[in-house]
Amino acid sequence: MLLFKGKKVSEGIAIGPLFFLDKDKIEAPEHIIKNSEIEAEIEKLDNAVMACVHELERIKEIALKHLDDNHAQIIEGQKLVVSDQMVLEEVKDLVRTAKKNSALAYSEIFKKYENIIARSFSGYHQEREADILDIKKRMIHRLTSNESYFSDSINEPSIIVGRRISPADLLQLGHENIIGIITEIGGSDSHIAILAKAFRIPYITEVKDFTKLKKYDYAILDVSEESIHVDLRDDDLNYYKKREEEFLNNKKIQVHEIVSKTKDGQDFSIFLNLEFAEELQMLDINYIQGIGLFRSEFISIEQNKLPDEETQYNVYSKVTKMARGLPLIFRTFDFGRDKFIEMLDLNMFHQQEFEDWGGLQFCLENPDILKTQFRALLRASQFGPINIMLPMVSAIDEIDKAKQLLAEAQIELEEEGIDFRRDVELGSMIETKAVLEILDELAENVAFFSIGTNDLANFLLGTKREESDINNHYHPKLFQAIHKIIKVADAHGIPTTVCGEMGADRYALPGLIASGVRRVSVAPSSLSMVSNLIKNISVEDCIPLNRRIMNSRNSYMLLSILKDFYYYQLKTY
Amino acid sequence: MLTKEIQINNKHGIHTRPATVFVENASKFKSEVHITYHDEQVNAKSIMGLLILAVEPGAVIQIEVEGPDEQEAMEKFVDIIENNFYME
Repeated sequence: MLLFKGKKVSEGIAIGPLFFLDKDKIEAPEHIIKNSEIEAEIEKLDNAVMACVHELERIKEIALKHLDDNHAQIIEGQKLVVSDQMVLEEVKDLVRTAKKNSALAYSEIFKKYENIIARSFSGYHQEREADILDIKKRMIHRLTSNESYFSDSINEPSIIVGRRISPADLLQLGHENIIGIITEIGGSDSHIAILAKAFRIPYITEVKDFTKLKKYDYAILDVSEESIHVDLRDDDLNYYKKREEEFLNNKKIQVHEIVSKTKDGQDFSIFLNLEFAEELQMLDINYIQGIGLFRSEFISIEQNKLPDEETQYNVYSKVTKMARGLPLIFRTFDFGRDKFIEMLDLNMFHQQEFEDWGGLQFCLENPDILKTQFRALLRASQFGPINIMLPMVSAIDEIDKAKQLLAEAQIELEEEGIDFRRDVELGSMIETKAVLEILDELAENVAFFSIGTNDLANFLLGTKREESDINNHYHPKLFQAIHKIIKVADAHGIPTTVCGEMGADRYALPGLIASGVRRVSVAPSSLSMVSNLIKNISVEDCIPLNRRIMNSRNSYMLLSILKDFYYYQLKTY
Repeated sequence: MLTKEIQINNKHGIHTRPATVFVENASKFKSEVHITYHDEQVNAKSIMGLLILAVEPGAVIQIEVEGPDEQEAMEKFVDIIENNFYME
């Protein structure tokens, strides 16, 4: 039995054809044009060049501002390649003489140069030349813009396979037909991972001998065993088919009840984290109490660019209408460099490491982006009671600046006679180390707190996103910080929500309650579990836990305290 | 017309980034600029042209400049190459 081993990202099992996503293989259409179409094709080519140059100029500007000269230089190089007159003249010749369509002609000429460069340079260069030649993809895409980014599309439910798959790939292919994902690169905290989990698509990464997978066209992806089977006997296959059926039956999120009180009758709210409006359709809205976090940056990732006001307005108003008057918190774009780069599909920057940069700062350095988002959100507010949350806050003056922009957006809309709610309030994510030092002042300046436990844990423990570990959830430092945050918020009478994965951790949750947490916001797939747990927890039973948590010295000790509580105090389990 | 032979001494030869620097500068001049290497001549305002030459470190190339600002242009190109394309 042949199998490939990988690393678990999103649970599940899938059986089906493998679809290899190879973006470098974007094919131009083959057709020959008529004499009368020649000039139109040439014009199309010139327009595509102009559009690409324009796009690259914008990217270069942003790269200069936020990355460094080296990156800006690579983009400048791409600009020179795309507007290279020697290449373009040859392409035009081919259009005129061989009557090939512009995309086909461009692709052929470019291929010729690619081959020469590949032959003449040694390994060191090939890697680098790949960056600059990457723009062929952009050009062919422009020239065939009536057609899909990919020459093939998925015709049947398939497991998609790629060295690296971007969220844009997934969204452009349409997640409905994707039954599984296999990649060579991509961590469990990446955007594609968040998407896979949101859509409950089985996903495995860091697959060993990845290239050998290409020999097969059908596979069983079994995430719980972290395996991909490519060669199975029939009786084995039946076993997996049965398991797949089970998985698919459970895939639709069944929510029969979400409690709003603990076992001893204390108020507790379970809100929802969302990335897409579509996720709400998978749920029965009647059970939902509120949306504690809508991650707006996915709109950009979906489109591979910064969305304009109308696009944003459409998404926000759709979600707000679907939420039917429930409390709804939108988080403004949380672009780290990583997300920004992913969004623009700048593959060449992927290997870089970026820290201490992102979230609110990016938006404040580009105030138009934030103001546009505020305008779109305010306009959507006429459909429901929304609030706005700022990510990665680390200083009070960031809040001041954001408030200023919000006020400007309100004045503009008022002058334009556009309707919006006047009571939209600003809240702050608590997820950086710096913000822990200014909690009191912050509480006076915002309407609510929301704790991003994943990032907060990384900042507190000095870990990086890709090494974030579930054990971080049990670190005493994290509980101490949360306890402190809740105390400050309570003293100022503002609500706090825990919206990281920790809120949906069965062991951590009683500890959070002990620390004073009374509201969590969790992924749709965790709703039932969290609700069941809250139904069986008494706040009173948890209180004594807090002293033990605060006194514990490390995550192992704390985890055993929490497990002990879970298995012995919550007797229903 | 001015011609000059000059040695390329940067670490990796004329790959993307040096080529970018050269083409950016060549494009600022009115003069025509050609580079010859291994019996192949290309227009130095074309980045693809420069890249296909695959100039290795230590190679000697010939620069040819012709036009109203040829003197100034040649001085600039020599400066670029002698300063390893202004990199590191």
